[in-house]
Amino acid sequence: MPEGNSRPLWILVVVLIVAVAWTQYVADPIQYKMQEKARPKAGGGELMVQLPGQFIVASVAGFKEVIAGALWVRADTFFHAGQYEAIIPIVRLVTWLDPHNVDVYSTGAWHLDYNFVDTNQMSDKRYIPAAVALLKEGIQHNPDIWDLYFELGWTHYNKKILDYEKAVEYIEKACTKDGVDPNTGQRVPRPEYVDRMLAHMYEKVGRFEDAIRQWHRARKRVEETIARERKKKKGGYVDTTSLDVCDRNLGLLYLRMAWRYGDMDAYKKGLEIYKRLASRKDAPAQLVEATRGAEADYTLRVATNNPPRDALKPLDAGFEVTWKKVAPKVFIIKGKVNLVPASEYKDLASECFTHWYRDNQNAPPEQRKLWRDGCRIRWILRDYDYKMPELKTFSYKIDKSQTIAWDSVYVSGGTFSDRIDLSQDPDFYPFKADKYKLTIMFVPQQAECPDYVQDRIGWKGEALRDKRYLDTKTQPGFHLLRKEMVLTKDDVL
Amino acid sequence: MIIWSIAKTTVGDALRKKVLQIFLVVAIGLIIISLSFSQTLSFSSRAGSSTDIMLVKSFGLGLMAVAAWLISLVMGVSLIPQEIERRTIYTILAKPVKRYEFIVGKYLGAVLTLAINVAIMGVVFIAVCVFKAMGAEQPVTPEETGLPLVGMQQVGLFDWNMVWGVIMIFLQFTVLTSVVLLFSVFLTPTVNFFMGLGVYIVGVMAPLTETLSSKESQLHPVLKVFYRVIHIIVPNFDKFNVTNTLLHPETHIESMAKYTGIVTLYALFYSLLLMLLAVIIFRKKEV
Amino acid sequence: MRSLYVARPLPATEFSSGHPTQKPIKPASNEWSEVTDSYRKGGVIVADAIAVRNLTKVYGGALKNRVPAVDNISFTVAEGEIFGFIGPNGAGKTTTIKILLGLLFPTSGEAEVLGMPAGDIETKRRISYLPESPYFYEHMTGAEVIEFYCRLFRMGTAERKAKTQELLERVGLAEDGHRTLRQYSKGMLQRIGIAQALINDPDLLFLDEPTSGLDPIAHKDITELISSLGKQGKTVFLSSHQLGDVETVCDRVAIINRGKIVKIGTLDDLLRAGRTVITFAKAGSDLVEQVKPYAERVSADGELVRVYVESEENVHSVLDTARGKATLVSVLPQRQTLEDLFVEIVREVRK
Repeated sequence: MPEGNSRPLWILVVVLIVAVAWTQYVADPIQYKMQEKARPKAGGGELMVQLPGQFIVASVAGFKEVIAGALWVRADTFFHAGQYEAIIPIVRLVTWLDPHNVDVYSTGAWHLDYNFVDTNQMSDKRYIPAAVALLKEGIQHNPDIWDLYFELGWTHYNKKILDYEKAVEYIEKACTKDGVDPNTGQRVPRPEYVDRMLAHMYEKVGRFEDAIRQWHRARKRVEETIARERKKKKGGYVDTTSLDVCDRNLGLLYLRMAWRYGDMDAYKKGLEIYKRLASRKDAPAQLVEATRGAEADYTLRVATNNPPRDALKPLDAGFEVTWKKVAPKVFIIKGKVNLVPASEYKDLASECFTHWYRDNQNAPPEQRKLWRDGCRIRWILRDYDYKMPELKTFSYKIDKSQTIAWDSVYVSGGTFSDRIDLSQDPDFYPFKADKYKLTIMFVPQQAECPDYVQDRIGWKGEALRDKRYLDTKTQPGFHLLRKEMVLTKDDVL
Repeated sequence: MIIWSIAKTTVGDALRKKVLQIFLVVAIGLIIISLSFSQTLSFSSRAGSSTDIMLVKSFGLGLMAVAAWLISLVMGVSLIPQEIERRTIYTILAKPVKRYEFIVGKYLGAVLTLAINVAIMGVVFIAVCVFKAMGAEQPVTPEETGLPLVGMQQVGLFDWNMVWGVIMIFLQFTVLTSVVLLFSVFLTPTVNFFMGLGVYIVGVMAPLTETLSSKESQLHPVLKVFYRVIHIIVPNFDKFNVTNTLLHPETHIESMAKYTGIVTLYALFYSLLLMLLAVIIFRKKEV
Repeated sequence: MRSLYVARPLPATEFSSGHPTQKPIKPASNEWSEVTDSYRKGGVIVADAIAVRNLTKVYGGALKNRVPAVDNISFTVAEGEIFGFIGPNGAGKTTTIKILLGLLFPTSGEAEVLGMPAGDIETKRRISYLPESPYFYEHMTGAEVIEFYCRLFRMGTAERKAKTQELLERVGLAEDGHRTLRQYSKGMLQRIGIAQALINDPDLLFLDEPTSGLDPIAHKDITELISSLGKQGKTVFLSSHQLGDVETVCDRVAIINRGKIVKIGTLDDLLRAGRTVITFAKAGSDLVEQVKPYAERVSADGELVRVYVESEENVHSVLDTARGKATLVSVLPQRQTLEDLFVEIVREVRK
């Protein structure tokens, strides 16, 4: 004899079902919006197979992030044990389980870029497309923050690929995004160095107008930050060195525009900035002296109507390079390049600011340098028909039959020489092709080209001349030195 | 008052269960141990210690979820059967106690026990997060550019998102507790454990059943209807799974508070519904 | 309205109206024959505390071929009675109690407790139940358990405290009230069980095997307590297979076996129904032939002839027949123990 009548309860059941349905209906769109972004775009099914059984259960049971974390900690131990091959599949799994862990993308890409090294500590370049694809996937999942754009730009710029135009594009993108405090999840402005990085890059590729604009923009952001800090700290100490960084760089950019191409307006603007910096009580003596020198140079040039055009004076590079096989897969690259004799710094406009030539002349004869070293010559050895693959989706399985290697050689005293031993790592350099291409070149805008060299030859290498190896076609508007050789199998093995 | 005293007794009883204590202690231990997790394999423009903090957070939330999951399952399955086994249910129902009062009291007790457990873990977890974040100030240097140092990036101490995370865990397993309680009215603990487990897994995979039953699905219409029914009936545990969004708030949660509010209602309504069904069945149940 | 109940007649639809206490309870049909067996305390007609009519319980509901746990039983227990419900394990004792408490629902038939259908929530204020070896919540102290049960009767704090103290003293646990049940012995647990059954000062108590597994002292305490309850005028429904206890405390007994009530009546009725042995000396052989129709068995043992007689009537017949034909040595009624009866009945039924 059950208690009472059940009908009211059943009515309540129906009411509650309606209520449940209603909350589902309201919550669904918000949930989908959230989870759409949280769901990995790469093919999860195949990846699932790679997970250990208990992980599959756990990952469908809503503990994906824990599994991802556990795997990532595991990756760390592999890293310390030097088992680099084991890390990449983990990177794949972790980014699939937790596609918002930005750190894993950047670390994974760095790892692919740098950590697969041969006995000579040269990294395996065949992994670079994978690194790029990984970063691109990361951007797909995290399109609203600056981090991975910056990472990708940096990879293109200096890390590996040397594609400066592309690098600029990515860093430009990064400069339109905010950051997120990975701890509290609050929106935070991206670090100021991202903006400054872009200005530097514009300058490197010779886009002065853009660079100037970017320096102003970067400085404005710094000003805003400082104002905010002042408000917050109410009279406490606020670090303003970032402002000086912007000022010095912008000033120098103006001065270089003047020294290299004779833009006297820019000279004036640059000087104004430096005079302001030098007038401060705590200004370093060197800066004060450099400013004074530049000011005198400016006054003289205005008076004599003699704008400097240092980068337009041709410089014969006299590029010579020989290549020799000393043993199978062991080569010696040797050569000469007229970059840059000390004498070339005489009467350069930048001299008024740097005093390098003067100081060198004043040094005791045995310490006096004939060359101002610092350039690097890049060599690239690859299968004749090698083209860097562009991966649509990230995969760490590389084509092990390909051979591609590059590195750069330091130029010292106008000569360079390097022994390249590719014989010890047949996995890295299988040499399976019939023909190979060896390119040896000098590119003025590459990150490793020092500013003082550019003072002489210009941002785009305008002053560079060479009877045999001047290349003006590969990058229109730029002067490069480039020697390309086709090698047969016999030449290599 | 009767409901409340039954609830209180249930809480006292459950809190003294060795198994549940072990789950709790192990979870807390692991959360504390996670303090020492650090990720040296970190090469990004982000501050390294922030990555460590995120690791602690994801571990903590996950561990709490696992512990709460086990606690609600293990506690829930024995809720009614144990009363029968100890014959306490007879002495209680021989007194002027209505059957619904007994069920509601039991349910309330179970939810309170879960709340106490999750709260204890939550407090430890949030303390661990704050501790980890303390002094985690990282210099931010652009790598290799040789550009001037930018300065220090302050790592925030308290993360409200983690509070939401703890609440979500509680809500999620409140619903699971209700499922298991409903089953415990007529199933043996062992069968119930696996039933509860099954319902949980199906509920977590709500996106899957949703996809399988969607218009785009290639399945046979009958199967589609089957999956649709499953999708509608089984509580959508996936609704509470916002860990990723909480850990990576860059995905822009428009209003976490709003979502939590709606999901709270969802959990409340669903639990009430299940409890009501349990009452209806228990009224006619022979004990 | 229910609380006005004092000593209630069976429902008015079945009996003509009249003053309940003077009403001769005489159901018309044979179906109700058991009712006539009701023990009438001190010759005063008392209302029934329990009335069970044609009660059948088949576990597993509609499934066929199930053996009923309780098979069409009917009995009543009068107010103030200590009623023993005995039978072997699995006979249907606990099932009957659970039905009376509303924990189980009968398959057919009716069960009334204090005049209301079994399971009535208001009636539960006036009854109590002690299940067979109860455990209770181990983490609580004895006092806490009693307080918890007091709460179920919606008692206020002060009342609860006082009641708890009183009950603990009554069952001899006043010293141990602060200890958790985990530290209690089986006997102490049983005392807690008794204490919780006494909270509401019930009119009717259901005690299921209250003495099983107890040490002799606890055993004695509990049987004494049951007796004292009877003296206070409480109705006690005592289910047990400890026949000694039942014999000591019960006014009336029902023996249940395989779901059926095999015997019901006062102890005197049940046990007196044994044989009488009449012994003669110097009896002629014709006498032996003459008494045979009245006797169950006649045995000659030398000079002595023993006649085993079932009923009282036959005893007289035998004596009349033998008058003057032999020397009467003795007439010994053989009163059985309850145990004998029980074993006999159970054996019979098994056949």
